[in-house]
Amino acid sequence: MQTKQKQKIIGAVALLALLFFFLPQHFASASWWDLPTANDLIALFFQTIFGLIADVIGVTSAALNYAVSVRAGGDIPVVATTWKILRDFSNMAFIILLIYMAFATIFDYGKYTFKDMIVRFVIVAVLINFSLVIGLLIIDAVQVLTNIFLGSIGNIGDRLGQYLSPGELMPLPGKISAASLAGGGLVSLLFAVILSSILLFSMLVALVFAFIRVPIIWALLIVSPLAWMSHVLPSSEGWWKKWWNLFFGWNLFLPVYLFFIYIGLLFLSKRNEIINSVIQVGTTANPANDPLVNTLTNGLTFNLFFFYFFAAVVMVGGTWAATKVTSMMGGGFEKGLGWAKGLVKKVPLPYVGNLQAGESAYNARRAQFQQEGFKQGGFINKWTGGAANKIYGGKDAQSRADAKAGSFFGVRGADLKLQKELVDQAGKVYQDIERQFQDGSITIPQIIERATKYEATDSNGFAYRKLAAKVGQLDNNMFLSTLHQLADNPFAAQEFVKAAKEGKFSKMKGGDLALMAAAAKGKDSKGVVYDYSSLKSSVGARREMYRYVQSDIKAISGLTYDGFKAGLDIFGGHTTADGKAYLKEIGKVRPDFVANYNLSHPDTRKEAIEGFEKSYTSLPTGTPAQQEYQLKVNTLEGSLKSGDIKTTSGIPLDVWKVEQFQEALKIYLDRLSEKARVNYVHRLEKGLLDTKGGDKKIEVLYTEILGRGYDYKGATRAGLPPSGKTGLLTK
Amino acid sequence: MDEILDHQTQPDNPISATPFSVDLFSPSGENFFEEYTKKIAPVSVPIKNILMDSSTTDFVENLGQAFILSLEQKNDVLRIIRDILLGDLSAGDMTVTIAKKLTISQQTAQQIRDKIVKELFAPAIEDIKKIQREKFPDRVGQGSVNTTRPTMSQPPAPPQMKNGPPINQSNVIDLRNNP
Repeated sequence: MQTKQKQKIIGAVALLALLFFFLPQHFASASWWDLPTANDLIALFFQTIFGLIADVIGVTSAALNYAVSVRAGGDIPVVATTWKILRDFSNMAFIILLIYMAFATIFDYGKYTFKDMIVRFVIVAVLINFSLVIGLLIIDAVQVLTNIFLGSIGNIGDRLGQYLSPGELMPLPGKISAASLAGGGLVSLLFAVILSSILLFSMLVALVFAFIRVPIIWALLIVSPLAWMSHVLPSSEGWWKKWWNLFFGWNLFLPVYLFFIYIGLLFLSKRNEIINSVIQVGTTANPANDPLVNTLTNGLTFNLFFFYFFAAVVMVGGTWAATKVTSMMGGGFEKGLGWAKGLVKKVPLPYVGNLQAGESAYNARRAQFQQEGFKQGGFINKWTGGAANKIYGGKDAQSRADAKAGSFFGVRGADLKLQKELVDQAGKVYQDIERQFQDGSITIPQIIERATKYEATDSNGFAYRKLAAKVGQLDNNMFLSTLHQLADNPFAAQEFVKAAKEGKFSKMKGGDLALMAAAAKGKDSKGVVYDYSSLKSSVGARREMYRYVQSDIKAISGLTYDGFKAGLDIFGGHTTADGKAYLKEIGKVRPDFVANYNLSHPDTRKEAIEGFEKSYTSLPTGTPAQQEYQLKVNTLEGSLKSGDIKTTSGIPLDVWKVEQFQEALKIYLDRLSEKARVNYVHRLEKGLLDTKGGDKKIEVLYTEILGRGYDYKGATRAGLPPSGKTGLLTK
Repeated sequence: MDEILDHQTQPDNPISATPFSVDLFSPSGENFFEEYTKKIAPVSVPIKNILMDSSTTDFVENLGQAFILSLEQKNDVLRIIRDILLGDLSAGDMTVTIAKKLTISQQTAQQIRDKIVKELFAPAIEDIKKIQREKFPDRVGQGSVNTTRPTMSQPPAPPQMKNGPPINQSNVIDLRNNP
């Protein structure tokens, strides 16, 4: 006999033996000569199937009971041994990471620099050795939760059997007859098999998940050193998160699954109460308890049918829901970690407020250092005799070097760029210190002390000097020293003077400013020598100074005729818009300067003559000297027209004493209506009283201009202006 | 020039000067302007305004029309105002001085004085009192500038309701004692 044939025979015998093992009892006890009928065969078939399912359910139930009781943690040699191998490997990898970090720091490569990685590097280097312990700790913590449900449920298989009574599904052997099978009994048997199969399937699903979670958790524990390792590098951060998601997910699977089972069993335990409540009848008259198919079995009621489905839904659905819920919980790990990090960063710390603030401040300071390097006015730079800034001056130093090189090679705009560098760099410092001043963090004496401590060419020095100027704390010395130091940087000098203008040169005398603007040199009325000629080249700054001078009566009063002309030159002469505005503004307080200038230049003289003709429809008459007199009076009157009480009062006494000015004022007054003239004189008296030499000007007004007996009622002058001193106004 | 001076003597000729400038056309002394402006400079702004504003000119002009004053009389009024404001004349002598300088009756002078004090001096009354007290400490209260208004008698106090009904001070109705 061949081996294959022998194997077939042995297999057939074994199958028969197995079938007989599951054979219902009444068949076993039957006499051998009783031949089975068709009913018997059908009943045998269903009972065999049902018996098979019942036995598998019993085994599955025991296995499930075991699977849910298995602890994934504890002392597991296979896990501990393999974990050690991976931990040692990870520790070796740290050396490579260190080298990588060093190079990344040197080349400032992305987020792999020392600053970005060191904190995580140290934490991981320490905790990687505890990764197994941490994992086991989490498993144990979850086990506490699991034990609560296990303690409440007990044996899952027992509970299911108790509540579902699967034995009721199958009819007693004696009840099966041909009549009952023909009358729906077959359906009853079929449903019994289906229902028990559903129960079996659902238990198998739960069993598979309950079993595979253990090796998965073990695998995750083994690779935990690698997961921790991946936390160091920003690019592998995803693996770290993924590991935690899986680990949390598989650990939480069991308690969540047991929770659903627990709820399901709770419902099953109350099935009769639930059904009665729903249909609102007594248990005795409960149609749900009536057999769905009569005669064959009393077990297949609607009640039983419903709760079998319910149990299946709970078992399978519970598994599905557990995987979903744990997946969500695993995702929550990431959020939880972020929240914990945020919390730690907000813990108050001395000096820096908290870690987050400290980190922000560090980043800002680092960026500042990268921008400025060792600052020119800084302590380290001074200590090293300026070497520190040359070694590392940051981006600012590079910009300066670029601009300087550009300037040397004649690159268009490089000069201006070089000059702007200082202003731009100082701008940031200025914003800081201005805010500090607004907050009251620094005081005026501190601003002045720091302004004088640094050179104006240093961004700090420039910023402090600018602030001092803006808040009106600029004296002559600081103003001059700043302009001298910025002699090679006219752009910065101009910016500085603009700031001083905002502060209205509060601490400086208007007269001095006028002389500085003119870069004048000489002696003042008290015999004090002044020399501002060094400012001659600071044209931009002087232009700004002249802009201020032309708006300030006291400053205009300090102008000399040469200074006035220098200002006009700076504005590009009398033909430019700036020049015309300058002439108009200066003329209000120094009409004599403007008249002299206009009459001494051919084109402006021509304009003056045209203006005269327009006013009197006639050209000046008389001798050349008389014509000159008339022209000047008319020009002076023009300046008075554009001025007001304040500027006219501010006209220096020397001018008031000039005969042509007196005549011009007489004509100006004479052109006003009676009421306006009276008002003007009264307001002029008041204005004069507040000005320097006001008493003398009032004297001139009453003795020379108005004259004794002036009645304020003179009729409008019809004729030409006088060609000489008139004394009283004539009608 | 004579024409102008003649013109100014006409009784209906309006004035154009202020108390400040009324005598500036005829300065007395070499340093008149210097001394005079020195005297004016320290006075308070409200007084300076009365001294130098055109509104004072208009006020005196109206006064002249009301009391039919000549140009010279109006100029004298300006001088009296100036002297009072600068503390050169006691306010107590104001009525007498007006009557004497303007050669008018005491009664008219009193009316002019009242009008000046109540209408012109009102904005600077406290400053004027202060100057007057400093310059004439022994004459305070003797016909000095007084613009006090008659006081109204106090209305009688409302009778107290000793046995009146209890009034609940808040909006919460106390229901505890409600039947």
